[in-house]
Amino acid sequence: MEQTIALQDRLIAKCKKGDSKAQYQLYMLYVDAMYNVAYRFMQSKFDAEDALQEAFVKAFQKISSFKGESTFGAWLKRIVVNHCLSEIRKCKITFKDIDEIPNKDIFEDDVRIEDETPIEIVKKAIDELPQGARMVFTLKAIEEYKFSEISEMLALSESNCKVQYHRSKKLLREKLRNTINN
Amino acid sequence: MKIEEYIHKNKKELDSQLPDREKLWNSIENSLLQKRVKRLQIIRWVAASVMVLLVVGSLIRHELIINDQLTSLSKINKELGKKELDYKNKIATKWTQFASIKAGESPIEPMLIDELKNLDTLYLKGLEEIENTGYNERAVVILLKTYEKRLRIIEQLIYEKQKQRNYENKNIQVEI
Repeated sequence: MEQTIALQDRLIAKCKKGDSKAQYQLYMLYVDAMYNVAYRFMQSKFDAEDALQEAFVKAFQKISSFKGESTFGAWLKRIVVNHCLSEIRKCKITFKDIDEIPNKDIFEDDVRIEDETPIEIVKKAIDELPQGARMVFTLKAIEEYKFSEISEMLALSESNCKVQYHRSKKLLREKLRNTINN
Repeated sequence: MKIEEYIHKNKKELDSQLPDREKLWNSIENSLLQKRVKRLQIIRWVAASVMVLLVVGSLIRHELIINDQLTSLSKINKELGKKELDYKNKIATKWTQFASIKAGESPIEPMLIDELKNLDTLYLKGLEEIENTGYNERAVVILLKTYEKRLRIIEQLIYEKQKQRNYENKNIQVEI
């Protein structure tokens, strides 16, 4: 693990000098994971590849600003996610704030799932969520961002993100119930 | 189990999509290259603009220095400088008028030109005096008078030239 980190640090240092071989090696280390992140947001091969291309170009151009405060993967993923969200916003999709904040009871009913539920069914149910709910769910449950980070990315208040996340989980539970019952 | 736990446990299976790595890399490489070329073009453009600005700036500075030298009475005070510039403009206009008259040299013309040369010498001497002894009203009056005289002489030159032209025109008519 330490060797991998050392190798990665060396690659990053070379990339900062504009070494294209190092850029390629760093790209190969992360492309699969980042592609899946982009795909979850964009929902199509073409759009995911497009977004990923732009995100990698941006990352290589801004790599000198990477100071190692987080892992390189987390830094790169943030660029990919931000780029995907801005592309989605271009399609005039807005992440709306909810006016009324429900009482705390809404959060107490936690959504549970059977351990043996096939992942394909869960993936399909996530894909079928409305776009806003899918974004919040993906950012929180899959990409494991904190609510404070999600709030910053979507320009929504933190409490709104929490409510939207809980609603997305409920919607997901309904969809899974319907699929399994059918 | 909680949905978050389920997702965490099955995270690897969620990452099931595979990109066309080489095709994607080619696009990234091309895009990086294009942006590098574009950045170079911008740098070149900025450098060229700075050069143009420097050249124009130095030309303007040069022009200002020359103007400063031309209106040397302005070194004493602005009022005198303005007066001197006014004289110079008038002299330039009259001289252009004189030069535009198409006629041969009148007999009196060389004498008047010599007079102008004398006034130039007188003017330079006056300036030298001011430079050496500092401001004195007498020298300034002499300098301004040289301008006044120059104006009169050029007016005389114009008059002589016009007379010469009229004379030549009459001769042509007589020959016809």
